[in-house]
Amino acid sequence: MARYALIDDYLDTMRDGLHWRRDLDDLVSEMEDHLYSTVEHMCSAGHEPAVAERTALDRFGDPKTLASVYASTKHGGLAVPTKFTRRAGTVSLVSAALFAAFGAYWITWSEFLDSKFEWEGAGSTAFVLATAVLATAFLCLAFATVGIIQRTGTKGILPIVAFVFLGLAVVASMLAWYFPGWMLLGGLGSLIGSIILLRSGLGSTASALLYGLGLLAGLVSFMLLTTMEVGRVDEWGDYPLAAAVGIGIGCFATAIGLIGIGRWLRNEEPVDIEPTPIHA
Amino acid sequence: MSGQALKGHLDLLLLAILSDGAKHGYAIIDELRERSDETFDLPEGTVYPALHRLQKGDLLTSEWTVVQGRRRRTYRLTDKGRGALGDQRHAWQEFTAAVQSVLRGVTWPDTP
Repeated sequence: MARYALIDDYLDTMRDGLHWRRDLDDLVSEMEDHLYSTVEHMCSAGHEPAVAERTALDRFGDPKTLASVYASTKHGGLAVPTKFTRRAGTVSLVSAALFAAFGAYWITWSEFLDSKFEWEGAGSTAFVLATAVLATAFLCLAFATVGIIQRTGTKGILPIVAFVFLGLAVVASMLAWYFPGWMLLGGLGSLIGSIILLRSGLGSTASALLYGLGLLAGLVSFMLLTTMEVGRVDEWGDYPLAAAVGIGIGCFATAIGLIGIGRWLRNEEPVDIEPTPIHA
Repeated sequence: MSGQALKGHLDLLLLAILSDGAKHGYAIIDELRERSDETFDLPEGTVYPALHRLQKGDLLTSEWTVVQGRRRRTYRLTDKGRGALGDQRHAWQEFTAAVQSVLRGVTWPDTP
C-alpha cells in the first residue's frame, strides 16, 4: 500500500490530540481507512495523488476541531484532561491521607477518651485536631469530586446535588462525634460522583466503587453492628466497637478509592481544546 | 448546507443511509453527499463521533475487517436502530408537513 506523508502526519497529529482515548488505535485506524479510501477514489477518477491527498485532508476536517468533537459530551461539556485535572488528582491523594489519618485516630485513640466532651487534657486536644483533619478531608474530597466531574465533561443537576451533599458533609464533619451525619452526607455526595465517573467509562472501576461506596459501607457496618449489640456499651449507650469498625471501613475504603483516582488524574496529560458544538 | 444546519438531523440521515445495508464510514459519507446532491457539506471526520454515539446507543453494530492492508470498520443497523429510524422518519414527516402548512399561502419577500 502506498503511503502519503501528509496523511500520516495528520494521523500522528490526531494521535496526539486524542491520546487520552482508550480506543485511540481504533479511531486512528478508521481515519486512516477513510483518508486513504478518499485518495484512492479520487486517483481512480483521474486526479493527481498530491491533489487527492490535500483534498482528502481538507474534506476530513481540522484536527483541533475534530478532537473537540470527539471530546464533546451530550451535556455540552468537554471530557478531556486539563491542568485542573492534575491538581484535583493531587488533592485527591491529600484527601485520602486525611481520611486514613482520621480513621486511624478513631480506631486507636477515641476508645481511650474518658469523655469526649470535656475540654481538658490530651484527649480533647486530639479530638479537636482530628475534627480539623476530618473537615479538611471533606473539603479536599469536594475539590477532588469537582475534578472528577470536570474530567468527565458532565453538566446538569447531578454535579450540583453532589456538591450540596459534600458541602453539608464539611459542616457536619465539624461535629465529628456525630459521625453518622457526615458519613451519610459525604457518602451520598461521593456516591453521585462515583456514578458520574462509572457512566463515563473513565478511570478504574474498582477505585470509583470504593470512592463512591466507602463511606456508606462504613455507615451500614456501624448500623449492623449496633443492631447486633456487638461489644461493650459505653456510658452514652453507644457501641464503641461498632463505631470504630464503621468509621474504619468508611475512611479506609474511601482513602483507597481516592488513591486510585488521584493517581489516575495525576497521570493524565492536559489537552488544549476549545468547545465545538456537535452536529446531533 | 453547513454543519450547524444539520444539527439534530444527522442521526436520522445516518440511520437512513444504513437502512439498505452495511457500509463503512467513507461509503456512508459518499452516499450522504450523493443522495443530497452535495447539499450536505460537513467535515467528513465529524461523522465518525456520530456513528460511535449511535453504536453506543445500540442503534448500530460494527465489525472490523482488513481491506488492502488497512483495518476497516463496517456499520449496520440493529433492530433497535430500525425502530428508531421509523420513529425519527415519522417525526420528521410530521415536522415538515407542519412547516409546509404554515408557509402555504405566505408571500416570500423579494430577494435583493
